[in-house]
Amino acid sequence: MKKENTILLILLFWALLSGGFLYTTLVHYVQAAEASHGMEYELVDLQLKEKGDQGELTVRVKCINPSSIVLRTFQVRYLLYVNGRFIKSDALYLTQTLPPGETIIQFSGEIHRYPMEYVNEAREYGKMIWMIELELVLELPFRGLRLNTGAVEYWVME
Amino acid sequence: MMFFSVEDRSRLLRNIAFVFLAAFILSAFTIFLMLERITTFPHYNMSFLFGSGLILGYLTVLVVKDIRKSFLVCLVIVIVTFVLTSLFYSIPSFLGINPDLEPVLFSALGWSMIYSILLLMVLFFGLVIGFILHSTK
Repeated sequence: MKKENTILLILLFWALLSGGFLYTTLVHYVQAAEASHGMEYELVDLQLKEKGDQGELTVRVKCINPSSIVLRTFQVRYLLYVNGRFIKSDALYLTQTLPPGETIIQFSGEIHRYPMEYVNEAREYGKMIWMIELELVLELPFRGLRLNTGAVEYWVME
Repeated sequence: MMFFSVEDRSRLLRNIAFVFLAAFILSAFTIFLMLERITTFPHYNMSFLFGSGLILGYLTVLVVKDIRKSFLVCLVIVIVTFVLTSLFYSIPSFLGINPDLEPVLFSALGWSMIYSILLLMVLFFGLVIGFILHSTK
C-alpha cells in the first residue's frame, strides 16, 4: 500500500511540474492564435509623387495587434491596382516591431513609366480608386515562428 | 457501493487517480510535441513523451498488479490522454479565437490519435518490461 501511495505522490509531483510548462505553453498558444487571427490593417495614407515620367508611391498602413505579445514585421508584399488596372507588385524586407495596439508602418515604391500611363489615364478620368492587396509576414517571439496575414484596402484620390 | 469493501474502494480510487495523473502527464508531453515551436518545455519532447510512456507502463504494473487489468488501465490512460490532448489543443477555439496556425479540431484529433496509438504501444512495452522484471523476482 505504501509503495502505491509513493508512486502516486511521485506522479502528482511530475504532473504539477509538467502542468506548469503546459500552462505557459497554452498561454503562448492562445497569444499566437490571437495574433494570427485578429491582426487588422487599415490604409491611412497613400501619396503619389511624380518624378518625370515615373512616380513614387508612399503607403502608410495602420497595424492593429490585438494580442499581448510584441510582433515584428518580416516582409511586406503587395499588389497595387488603380481603377481596376494592375500597376505594381513588390516584396520588401521591412523590420518593424508591432507592440500590442496600433502601429503605423510606412513603405514606398517606384512606379515605372508604362504603369504610370495608366495612373495618368485614371487621373484624367477624374477619380483614382487605388486598391492594395497587402500581405504581411510577421515574426512571433517563439523560435522564429512566422505568420502570413493580409488585407485588401482601398484609397480614393479625387 | 454495498458490493465494494473499503479496501476495494480505496484501490479503485487509487487506480482512477493513477489513470488521470498518467493521462495528464502524457497529454502535457504530447502538447509540447505538437506545439514544438511555441512550447516553454526545454528540449527533447519526443524522448520525454515516449520515455514517460515507458515509465508509466512500468508503474502500471506496480500499481495495478494484475496483467489483464494492467492492459485495461493502459488502454484507459491512452483514451483519456487522447481526449485531454484534443481539448488542450482546441483551447483557442473554445475561447472564440480561430487560429490560422493550424486547422484546429481535425488536426488536434488526428495528431493526438497518432500519438495515442504510439503511446499505447510504448505503455504496453513498459508493461511487458515490468512483468518480466517482477515475475523473475
